[in-house]
Amino acid sequence: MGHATGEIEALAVRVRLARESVEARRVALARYALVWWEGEAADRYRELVDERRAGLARLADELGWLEESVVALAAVARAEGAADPVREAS
Amino acid sequence: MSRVSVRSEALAAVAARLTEAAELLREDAALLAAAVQRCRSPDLIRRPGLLGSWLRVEADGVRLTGPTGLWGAALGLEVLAARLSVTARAYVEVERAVTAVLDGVHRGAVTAARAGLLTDGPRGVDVRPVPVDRAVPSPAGPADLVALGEGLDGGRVRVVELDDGAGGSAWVVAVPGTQQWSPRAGDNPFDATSDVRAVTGDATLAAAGVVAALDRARAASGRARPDDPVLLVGHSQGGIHAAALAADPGFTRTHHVTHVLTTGAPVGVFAVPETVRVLSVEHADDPVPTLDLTPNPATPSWLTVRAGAGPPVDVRRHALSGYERTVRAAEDAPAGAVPGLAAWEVSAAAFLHRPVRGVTEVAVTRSAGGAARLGRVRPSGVRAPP
Repeated sequence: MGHATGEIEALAVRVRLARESVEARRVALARYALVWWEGEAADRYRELVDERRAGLARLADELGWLEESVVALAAVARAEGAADPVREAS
Repeated sequence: MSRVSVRSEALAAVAARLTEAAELLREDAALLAAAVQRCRSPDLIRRPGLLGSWLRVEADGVRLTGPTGLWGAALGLEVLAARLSVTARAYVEVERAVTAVLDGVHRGAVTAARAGLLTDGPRGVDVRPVPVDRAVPSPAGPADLVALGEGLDGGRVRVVELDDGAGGSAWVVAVPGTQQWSPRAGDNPFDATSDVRAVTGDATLAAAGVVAALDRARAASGRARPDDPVLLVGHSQGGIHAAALAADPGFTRTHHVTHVLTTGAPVGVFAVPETVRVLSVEHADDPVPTLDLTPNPATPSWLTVRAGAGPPVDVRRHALSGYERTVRAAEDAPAGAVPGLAAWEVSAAAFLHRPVRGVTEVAVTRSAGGAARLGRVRPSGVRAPP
């Protein structure tokens, strides 16, 4: 496997780990809603938690799409490397 | 003064977790940025078949590590954490005020004691067996445990020995609520004196009577073992004694308290260890559970079920029978309607649907003499910050 292909595949793994991490934070945030806390400050806090959760969900989606792009790029790089082993090995 | 609506320690703990989550996201961002950087090899740029796709991936990668991506998400969590920290500091001030109020009540009781009021005085405690005048069926749920508090007039404490299903016994101790309202201590220790003394952290003859009742029942059984599980159930003042005993290392060293069930009781000030599963039931409009000005801890081991609505001003809502109906309704509600209740019941399996091995009742009274040396069990649920 060539240097470029290896790094792109490593990037795909890193993007996947980042997506999983974001998803884990989003799930954890649901546990921090402090449902037993009452009052205006509590309501505002929960609104902010909801906003952050929605933001993390969007971010996880985008990281998922990036992961797909990187995986596709790695596949192309692998195919090109197979077709031109001299350059891939350089 | 209104009741503190949340504990600063809970807010501060969540703020710390949010900060930690933000740091992890920032680490992810750094690792992702480095991975993108490593891909920028001359070899990749020289390959026209890859270059266009790579540039798009690179742009997205950089964007998703930046302010609109992982860094931005981390910052959002940090802002949330900062907001909670500020709120927590505000609540610390309120909690200091609450502590001061409770200390004031205690000082007031000490002053009153000089006039012979609100004090157990130089008296001991007598525990006298009395006939059990009712059948006690096997408890099927928390409502049946609450019902064990019915008919405990005259300072009676009821102890039920159950077959725990594992060859041993499980013990349920039902503690009565306030029965005498005179500020001058009489023979019945379940009175206003014990109310004030117990909620401000003093050991009381009433609690000593509860301990004696349990020890007497265990000794009479002949089957008791040190590790037998114990459930303390109490309404109003009975709940205070239950929580205070569960928070008292001197008691738990020799009694394996696993569960506490309180109804209509101000118990938020007691630092019950998390090894004890507590179920506290409060009517929102009953003023008594708010008397300690402190909410119950929001921990996995402490389930507080608040029923009803409205300000805490209706003393009729304090009756034990009403609480019994509330708990029964909660039990009969569809699964999940009362979050945590089913889990509490599962944890209390040693006490539910188990055959009754025996029931004993004693009448607890202040004795005429024999000064009891009682210590002080400082409630530590509300602490001044360091």
